Amino acid sequence: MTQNAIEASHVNKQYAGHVAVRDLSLAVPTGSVYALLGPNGAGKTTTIRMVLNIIEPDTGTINVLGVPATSPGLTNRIGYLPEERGLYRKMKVRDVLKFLAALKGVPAHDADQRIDRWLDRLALRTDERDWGAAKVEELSRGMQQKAQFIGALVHDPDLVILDEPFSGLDPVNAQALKDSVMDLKRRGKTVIFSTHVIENAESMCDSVCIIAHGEKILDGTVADVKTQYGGPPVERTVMVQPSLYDIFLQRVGATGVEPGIRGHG
Amino acid sequence: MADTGSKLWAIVRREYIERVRTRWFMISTLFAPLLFAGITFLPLLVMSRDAKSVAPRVLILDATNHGLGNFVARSLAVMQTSSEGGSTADVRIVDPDSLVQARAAATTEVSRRLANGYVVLDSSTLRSDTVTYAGRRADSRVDRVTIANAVRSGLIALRMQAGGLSAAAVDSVVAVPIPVLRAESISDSGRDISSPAKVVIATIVAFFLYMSIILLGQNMLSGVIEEKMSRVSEIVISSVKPETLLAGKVLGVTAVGLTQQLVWVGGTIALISARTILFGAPAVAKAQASAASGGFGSSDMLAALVATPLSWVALVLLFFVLGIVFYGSLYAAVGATVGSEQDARQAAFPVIILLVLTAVLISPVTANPTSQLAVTMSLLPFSSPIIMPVRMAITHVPLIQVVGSIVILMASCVGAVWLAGRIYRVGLLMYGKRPTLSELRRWIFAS
Repeated sequence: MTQNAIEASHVNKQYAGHVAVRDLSLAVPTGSVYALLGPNGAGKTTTIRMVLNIIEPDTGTINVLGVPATSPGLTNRIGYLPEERGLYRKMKVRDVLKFLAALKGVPAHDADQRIDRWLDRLALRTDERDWGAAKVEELSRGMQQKAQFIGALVHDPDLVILDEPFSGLDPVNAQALKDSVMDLKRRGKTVIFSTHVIENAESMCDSVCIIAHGEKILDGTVADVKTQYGGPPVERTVMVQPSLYDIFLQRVGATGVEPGIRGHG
Repeated sequence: MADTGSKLWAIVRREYIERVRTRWFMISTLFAPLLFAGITFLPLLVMSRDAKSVAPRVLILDATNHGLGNFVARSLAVMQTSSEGGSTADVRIVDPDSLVQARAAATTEVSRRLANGYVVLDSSTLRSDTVTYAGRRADSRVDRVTIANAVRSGLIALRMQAGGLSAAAVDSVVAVPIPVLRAESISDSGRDISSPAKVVIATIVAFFLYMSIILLGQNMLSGVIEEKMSRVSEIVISSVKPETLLAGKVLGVTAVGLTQQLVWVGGTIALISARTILFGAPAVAKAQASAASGGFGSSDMLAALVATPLSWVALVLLFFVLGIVFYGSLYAAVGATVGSEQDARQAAFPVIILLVLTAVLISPVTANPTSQLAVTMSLLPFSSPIIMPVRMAITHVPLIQVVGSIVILMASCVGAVWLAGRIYRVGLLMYGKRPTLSELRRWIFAS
């Protein structure tokens, strides 16, 4: 297996009037959770779109899962959740998911079983109601986001790219998604997510890349970045009560809370 | 390649199923044949009632003292033998002085539904000046024409009798029925079997093509905007090329349109069959005969429809498919450039203008299907999907023009799909303000 799931080298992308990405090089280790951090307009989405071959870089090369990003068949191995989200509102959830699975080369009979597993896992199919049979527009916003999350993962991709995956989710649903991300990591998949919620990155990621104004500011493992840019560690002893977040999760009843994961959605 | 094929199929399938399932599709598909049925059934209904209306009993008040009434009754019977069989008129010889009372009595009978109406023959009628007809359906054109013709025949017979012709000879003259008129028009290209019915059929076909293209086009537009605004398109084009998505959408919409047209064609054929069953062949033939004297009737349409060659239907469907591909691509391109439904209305204006311009020209083209205007519009790609089928329905179009029109339209479809693909590729990822013309040019011609 290739050492890096993504290798970008001196990538440039310019739109009329402004530079979106300038001389960007990065390497995402296979099997890691990798955060792309940066303020709005930093070039995160452009970078992700180039990795997905939705747009082509002006110059530079991008290899994904060991082959050039433009390789045919590569898209079937990548899952993508864009930042601003929506689904076909009038379609049934299961039909949308089957359509998305078909676009990733999953046969119809296989897709149904996978969708069932995911609907159960994210509590979209319970004894009371099967939301898979409902139209997308009948779902709450949080449920729609979970359905989209399933759409990105239904074909069991080797590389998952999530653009601001936790925004707009309540803590219970955010936690369910975080659990899924950690599960992907355990199964050797590579996960990249872009976010501006730094706490998420710190609690979940192995490596980070911070970009601003289209340029990379720094990258590396979380530990390396802290060591290199954070100065010497400071020892503090603090007495803390359980956080409100913990209390919320305990009381509302989220399942499978990953130990050590904190932060808000 | 197989992968792209199955993904394209997934897109076509979704586009097709999601559209066909909608209430919009059901209503527009079912409503159109009903409209068509209304156009063809109603005149026949009215006409068959018309044809029967003078039949049961007409009183003839003969105040001529020359026996005109018997000739008129005989003539009336001949005119209706083909449809009803048997005599229908009741002749009353009336003294001219008591005509007023006789009319009053006849009026009472008609108002009590003992008779349908009465004809008054008097000295003025003998001079061939006037004849009065009063009845429940005096406004019926068929009734009026029938009575006037019968009176004229009666007058001719009377004058022949006065001229010394034998009773048998006179009777044989009165017994001559009115033949069915077959109208044939002559155009620049020579003799041409044409009828007003063909014009009506051509107009209806043009209306259906126009409605279908504009509805599916608008449907395509709102579909693209929904996909773009909900960012679903971004997920889709992370799996397939934008051109594949566009092709899938155009093919899906074309399949929807074709389904609709086939339902309409099938529905029309079913209705035509049902019509003969419902009214019976004699009723249809009768209506056809009476329509022939008046020039146009729904039975002419029936005859023209039945005579429509399948090759014409196939060609109409081909033009329709190409029209949907052409306009569907343009609408998709427009959808990709805008960020909301409101913007779309403005942006789609140039495309709608092309369609409306075509619709406006349908009438002049049907009036003169071989004019320079008609020929030109049937060759230009934006109007040919509607205008060429119209011309072909009415007149004989030279093969070279039909082939030329198809070739031009096919080439334009390739151009439209290419253009839409270029705009689609960039436009789907552009949110916010609409692009200027120079930006659009850059999208199209950028590498």
